Amino acid sequence: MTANKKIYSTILLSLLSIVLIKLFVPAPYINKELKNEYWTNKTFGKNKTNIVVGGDSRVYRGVSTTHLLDSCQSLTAVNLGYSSAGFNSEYFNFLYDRMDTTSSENIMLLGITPHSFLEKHMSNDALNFYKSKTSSEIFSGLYYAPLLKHFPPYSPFELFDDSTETYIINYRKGGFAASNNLAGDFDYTYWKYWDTFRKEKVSDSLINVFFDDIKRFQDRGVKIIAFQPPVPAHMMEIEDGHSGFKREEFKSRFKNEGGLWIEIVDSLYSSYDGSHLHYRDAEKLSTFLGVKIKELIKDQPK
Amino acid sequence: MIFNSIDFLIFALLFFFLWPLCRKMQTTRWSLIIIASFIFYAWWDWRFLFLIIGSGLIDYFSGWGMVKWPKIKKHILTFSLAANLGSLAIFKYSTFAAEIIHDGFIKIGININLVDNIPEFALILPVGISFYTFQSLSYTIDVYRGRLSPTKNILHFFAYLSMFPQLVAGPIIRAKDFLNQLNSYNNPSSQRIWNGIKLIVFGLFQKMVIADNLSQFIDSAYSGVSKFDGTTYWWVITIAFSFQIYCDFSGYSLIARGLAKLMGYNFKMNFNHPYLSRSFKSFWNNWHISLSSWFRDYVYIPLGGSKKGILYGVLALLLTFLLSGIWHGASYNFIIWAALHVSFLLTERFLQSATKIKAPGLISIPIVFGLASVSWVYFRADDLLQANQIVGKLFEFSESDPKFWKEYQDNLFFLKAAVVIEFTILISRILPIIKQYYHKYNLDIIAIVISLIAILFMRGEGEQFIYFQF
Repeated sequence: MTANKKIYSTILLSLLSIVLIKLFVPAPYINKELKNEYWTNKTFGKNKTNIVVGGDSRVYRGVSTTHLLDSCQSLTAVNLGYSSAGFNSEYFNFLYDRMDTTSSENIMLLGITPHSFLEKHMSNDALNFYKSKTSSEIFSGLYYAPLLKHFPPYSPFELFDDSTETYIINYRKGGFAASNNLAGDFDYTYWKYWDTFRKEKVSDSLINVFFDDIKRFQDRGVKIIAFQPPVPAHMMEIEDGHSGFKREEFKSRFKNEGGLWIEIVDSLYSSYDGSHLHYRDAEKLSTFLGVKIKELIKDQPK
Repeated sequence: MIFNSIDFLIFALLFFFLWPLCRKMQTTRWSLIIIASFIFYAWWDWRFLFLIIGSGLIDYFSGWGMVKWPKIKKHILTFSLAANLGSLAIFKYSTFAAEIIHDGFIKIGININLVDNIPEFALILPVGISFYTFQSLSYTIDVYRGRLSPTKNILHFFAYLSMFPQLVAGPIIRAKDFLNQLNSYNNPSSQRIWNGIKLIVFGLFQKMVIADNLSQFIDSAYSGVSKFDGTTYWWVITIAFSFQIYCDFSGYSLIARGLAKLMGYNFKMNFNHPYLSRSFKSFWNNWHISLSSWFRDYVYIPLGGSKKGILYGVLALLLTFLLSGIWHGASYNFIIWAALHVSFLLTERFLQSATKIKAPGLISIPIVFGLASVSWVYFRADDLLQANQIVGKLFEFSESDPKFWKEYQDNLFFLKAAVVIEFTILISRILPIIKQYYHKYNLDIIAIVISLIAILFMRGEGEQFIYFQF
């Protein structure tokens, strides 16, 4: 066979193999390139929106911007939730930077959890981990990952092993991560959280800082809307009973300070690990939030 | 810019688009090589381009001066050596030297902290400085020895010195081999293009699939993150690192050779399955061949080699390896690594001359590989203390938690793949019929397709090449 024929045969066989893999091999459990694109876009994306959603992992796994906007189609939104995000000035400034301040409607939608008022989360490690990426990593995440995500790397044992990975996470546009664990372990996070709150309680001074921060943005015309992401009863018991977070007191102060609160009926939503919502429930919650936001902003002066 | 990046893919596509348009005329051909190479290097840090340019200008004019003023050519060579080795010393060895001097002063009761007084710029190690410095040195030394006529054209010289495929991690090409190649223009035949593609794909496979997928396993052990310990575990880590460094560096060299082939040039082979060597002499003939032969031609042989008696030969070998160790890095680890190889080589020589027995490959190959792997511990460890501890663990026969096989099964899959590939090469050397079938049925196409698919769908994290730090 001549060298030219070999080159053409290689191209043909390679393309055929790629097509067959794309057609018949299931996608890997975690698409690393998609994940890279997701976090880089979340941290360094240039698009500015009317609604910025802030909070911890319950928020980025719990609020789908696509479903949120079903009822508010004239608006745009991005979910800027990070694992163990702590509400402080650094985080609020980050949220505000992604807000389209040229438009008439600016909303910060905050998912309130007791974790976001713990001193140890004020370092915002997850956010700062992504912020510390080099310029070439950022460039790669923004411009190469969208291409490479179509060729995600597989782990060999994913291909050859019969056992099935039960945890799934699908990184969506807009900052939402649709997740589930097929072998749902309802108590998975229970003892972790119990231990967390045994070691540290919610800080009142951090709550005061939170209110100072939201006042700062309210003065700039930003509507602050908050909700508490739904959790199962046993998790609520820890968070209300052991975290030092006074839910009702917080809600009433929030409303008094000019914030808009959305009540959630926790029992309507189910979690796969005791903390994070099954993605379908996250979508349901997001649709509900969208409807409520529409109602709230209609009643509010511009 | 690294070969296993999209940046490089775009860069290479642009270069090979322009290459056919520029290669016919010498000036445009050399200019394109220089511009592309400078962009390639500047992608890492443009400020250090001046180092290559400075080093290159000194050697270009030194070569030219040695011919014009032959009476003072020794002084000119000394100046060139001092300038090149001086810049290498400043950037690579100043911290190490300052630490040694500091320790010496401490012993006599004087505390002078020299390390903190080193200028900040000298603390940065310019990528590939050891490679291009040696390449540049070979030019002036060969001109001095009368083995090479200096080029009159500065573009010609810089095209040789900066040639991007091998600029930052070799293979170290010699001026007397390559300046001539650069003079002419060869339209690469389709066979040459196919060979170039094969080298690039196999190189990327070695780097992105094998080396990169082993790195997390090895890094977790050396950084102390891993919870595992014990003799079996550390042997697996040690063997894994042997394959990581081999596939990382050999992969780079293959890609460099492949790119050169696509340009119509030829770089010599830099690795020839060194882990299949039956002796340490053979190992060094097959590992980083361009550096080994550089040290052989410019250090070992000028020192007398093995022709001036046993004692002199041993000293020459010791000095050559010591310099080779220091070339890799400024640390005691590299000196110990080099000393171990000298002891292996000397023991081997002694045993061969005393017993006249040639051990079968079944015995000698694992011994050479095992000892070379142990020496790599000094290469990889953060410091001497860690290296000694790990080597201690290799021979203390302590128990390992077998769960590490499961926890790192993905990484270990690639280690097994690397072993199987080398074993297949070994078998094909023993049974030539395999090679005949390989060629007869064009199995190289299948090998390339499998490699390409693995690169796409089984690539590891895009790690920097290990040898960039040298």
